[in-house]
Amino acid sequence: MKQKNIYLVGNPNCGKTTLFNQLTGLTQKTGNFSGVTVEKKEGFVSLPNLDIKITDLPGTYGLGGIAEDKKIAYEVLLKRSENESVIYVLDALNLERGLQFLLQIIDMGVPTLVVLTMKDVLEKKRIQLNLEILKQSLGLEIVLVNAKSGEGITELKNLLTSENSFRKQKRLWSWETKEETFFTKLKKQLNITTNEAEFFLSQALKFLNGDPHLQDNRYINQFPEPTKQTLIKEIQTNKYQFEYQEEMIHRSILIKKIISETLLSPISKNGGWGEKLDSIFLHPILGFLCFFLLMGILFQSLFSFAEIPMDLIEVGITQLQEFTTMFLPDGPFRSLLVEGILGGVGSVVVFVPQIALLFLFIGILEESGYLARASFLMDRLMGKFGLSGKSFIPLLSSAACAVPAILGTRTIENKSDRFTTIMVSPLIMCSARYPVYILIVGTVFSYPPLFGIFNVQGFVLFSMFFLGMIVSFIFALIFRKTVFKENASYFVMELPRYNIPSFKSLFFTVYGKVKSFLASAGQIILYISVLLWFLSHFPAEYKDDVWKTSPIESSYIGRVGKAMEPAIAPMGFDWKIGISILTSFAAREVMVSTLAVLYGSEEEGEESESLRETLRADKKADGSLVWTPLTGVSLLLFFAFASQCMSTLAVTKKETGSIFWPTVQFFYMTTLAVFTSFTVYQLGKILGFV
Amino acid sequence: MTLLDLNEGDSAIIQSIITDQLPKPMLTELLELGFFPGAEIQLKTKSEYLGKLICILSGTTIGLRMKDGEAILLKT
Repeated sequence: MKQKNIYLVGNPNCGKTTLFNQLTGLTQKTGNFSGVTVEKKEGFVSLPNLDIKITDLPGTYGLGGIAEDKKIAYEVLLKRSENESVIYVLDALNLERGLQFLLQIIDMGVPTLVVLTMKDVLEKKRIQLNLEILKQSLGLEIVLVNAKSGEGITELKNLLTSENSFRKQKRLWSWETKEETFFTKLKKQLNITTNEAEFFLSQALKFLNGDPHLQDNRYINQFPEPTKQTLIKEIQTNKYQFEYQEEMIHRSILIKKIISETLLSPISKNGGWGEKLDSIFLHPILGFLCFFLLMGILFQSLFSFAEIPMDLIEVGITQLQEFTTMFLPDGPFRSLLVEGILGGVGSVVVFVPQIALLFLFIGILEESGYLARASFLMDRLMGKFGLSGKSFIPLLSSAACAVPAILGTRTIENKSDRFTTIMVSPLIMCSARYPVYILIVGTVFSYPPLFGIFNVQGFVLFSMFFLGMIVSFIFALIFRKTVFKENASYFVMELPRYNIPSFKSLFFTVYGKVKSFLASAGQIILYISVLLWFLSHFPAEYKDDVWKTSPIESSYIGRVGKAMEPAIAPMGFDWKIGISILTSFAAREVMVSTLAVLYGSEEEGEESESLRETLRADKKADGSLVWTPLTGVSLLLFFAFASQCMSTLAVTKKETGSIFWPTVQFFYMTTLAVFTSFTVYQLGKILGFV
Repeated sequence: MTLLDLNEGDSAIIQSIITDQLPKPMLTELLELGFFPGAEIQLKTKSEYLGKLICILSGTTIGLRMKDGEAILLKT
C-alpha cells in the first residue's frame, strides 16, 4: 500500500476546512507542527492501493509578512519532502485573490492539484466559468466541487490516486523587462534549471533589493561569496526592482488576463441579503444590540436545551453505579470504582451536552461569517483598551477554551497586541468553568424561570461571561499602559461572505472538540479522582473480613482540609470547598469531581441523590447552610479569575517563549481571584447577605 | 485624493500607498489583500461612529480603519 502526504493550502474562508472535513471525516486528529505550538489538523483518506495523510495548513493570503501562522505555512511548504504535494483550494468567487497565492505556490515548485470550491454558489448565481481554459492557463489539473454537499468529491478522490494530477509548473508570470532579462541571464550563469532553485534566486534578489517584506538572508547565503558580491554590485548599480509589491503587480496582470478568458459572466459581490445583514450587524447601534442578543441567546440555551441530555447522562451514571454496587462485593475495589472513578469522571461527563452546544454556537458564528463582523464592530471599543479588533476573535474563542484562543493569536502581527491578548485570554469564561459555574449556580440560585421563560441560571451565566470580558479588557489596558507600551496596533480584515454553515463540518468540529475535552480533561480527572478517593477513605483497616475506612473528616484529605480552613474561611469557603479549589488548580473541571468524591464518601450508604441537592443540604457545625448565595457568588468570582489551568500556562510559556509571562499570568490572576472573593464575601456579610 | 476622500459607492484606481504612514506588517497584509497600484477599489461604507471604512477590492469585502485609508492614494 502506497502512502502519500498532502497539504491543504488556500486563503482563509475559501472552504478549505469544509473540504478537509468532507475528505477525512472521522479520521481527524489534532497535534502540533513539530517544534511549534500551532495546532495542526491531520486526517486520513484510504483509497484503493493508496493511503493519504492530509494536513490542513493555516489559511493565509500569501507567503509574505511575519505573522506566525503564515510562517508555519511557508516553512512547511519550503521544507516539504519529494513525495509531498499540495491541494490548493481556490474559492471560485474570489478568483483574483486566490490565484495570487496559487501563483506563489507554483513559483515554489510544489506539485499542485487545484480544487475549485463554491460550485453551488456559481450555479445559483449563474456564473459561467470555462474550466478547460483555466486548466490550460495554469497548466494544472482542476476539479470543481461543492465542499458542503460533497458533490465532486468522488472525482477528486479519483484524481488523488493518479500521479499525473499533482503537477509542478514553471513560473507563469514575468518581471519587468529589465529585471526579467537580468534574471534570465543569472539563471544561465548560475546554471539554475529547477523551479525551486529559481524561487531561491528570486527570494535572494528581493532580500538584496532591501524589500521590506522579505528580510530573510538564508536564500542569499546559499550562494558562494563571489556570486553574492557580484549580485550585490549588480543590484546597487542597476537599481533593479525585485520586490514583493512588483511581483504582485506582475502576477496581477497575468491573473486579470486569465480571468478575462475564463470567466464568461461577471461575479457581482454586491447586493443580496449579505448587504442587508451587514447593514444590521455592522450598524453602530443595531450591531452591538445583535451581538449581545446573540450572546444572551447562547447562554440561555446552554441551560434550557442541555438540561434533558444532562439529566439522561446523570441517570445513566447513577444506574451504572447501582449496577456495579449490586454485582461487586463490598470492599475497597467497589468503593474505588463506584465513588472514585464513576463518581468523579461521571460528574464531568454530565457537562458534555453543554460543552458541545457551546462549541456548536462558536462554530456557527465562525462558519456563517459573523465572527469577522463582530471583530470589525469591536475594533474601536478594543482600541480604547489598547487592542485591535483582531484580538476580539481569540478573546471570544476563549469562551470555548483559552488554549486554542492563545494559539489563535498567531494571526496578530503586532507583538504587543499579541502578548496582551495572550495574557488576558484566560480571564474570559471558558468551557472548563461551565461545569463549575453550572454546579454553583444550579445549587445556590435554584429559582423558577422569570416570566416563565427567562432562566435565572442562564442570566447569571451570561453575567459571568460579561464580567470575564470586561475584566479582561481592563487588564488589557493595564498591560498596554505598562509593560507592552510600544507598537501601535492596526486593523485590516476581510469580511467574508455570509454562509449557511455546513452541518457535516459543524458535526466534525463539535465531535473533535468534545473528544479532545474528554481525552485531556477526562484523564486528569480520572487520576485526581482515584487519588482523592484514596485520600478521602484512608487511613483504613481490615478487620474481621471487613474493610473499615475513615470517616471523611478524619481521612488524610479531611485533615488537610481542616488545616487550611482558617485561611479560606474569610472568603466564605469551608474545608471541602477548599480541597476542591486546591485540586482544581490542575484543571478547573476537577472541582466538580472533587466535590462528587468528597460528598460521595460522606454519604456512603445513604440514598444517592444529585450532587446539587447534596450540596444544598450541607450544613456547617453551627447548623447554617454551607452553600449560601453569598458563598456561591464568592466562589463564582474565585473561579472567574483564578489561574487554574496547567494547559493554558504551558501554552503561554510556549507562545511567549519564556517562563516569566506564565508566572506573571498565574500570580496576577490568582491575586485578583483571592482579592475579589474576599472583598465580596466580607462586604456581603456586612450588608447582611447570607 | 485618498481612500478616505472617496464617496460611498464610488470606485477608483489605487495609485500608491504611503508606506511611512503604515506599520510594515500591515503593508504586507494590504498587498496580499489586493491593495497594490493599479487595482480598482470601491468604497462601500464609511462609518464615522465605528471609525471604519468598508471597501471592495477584487471581489472581496475588506474593513479597515479610517486613518489608514489616508495612506492609500487614488488616481484622480
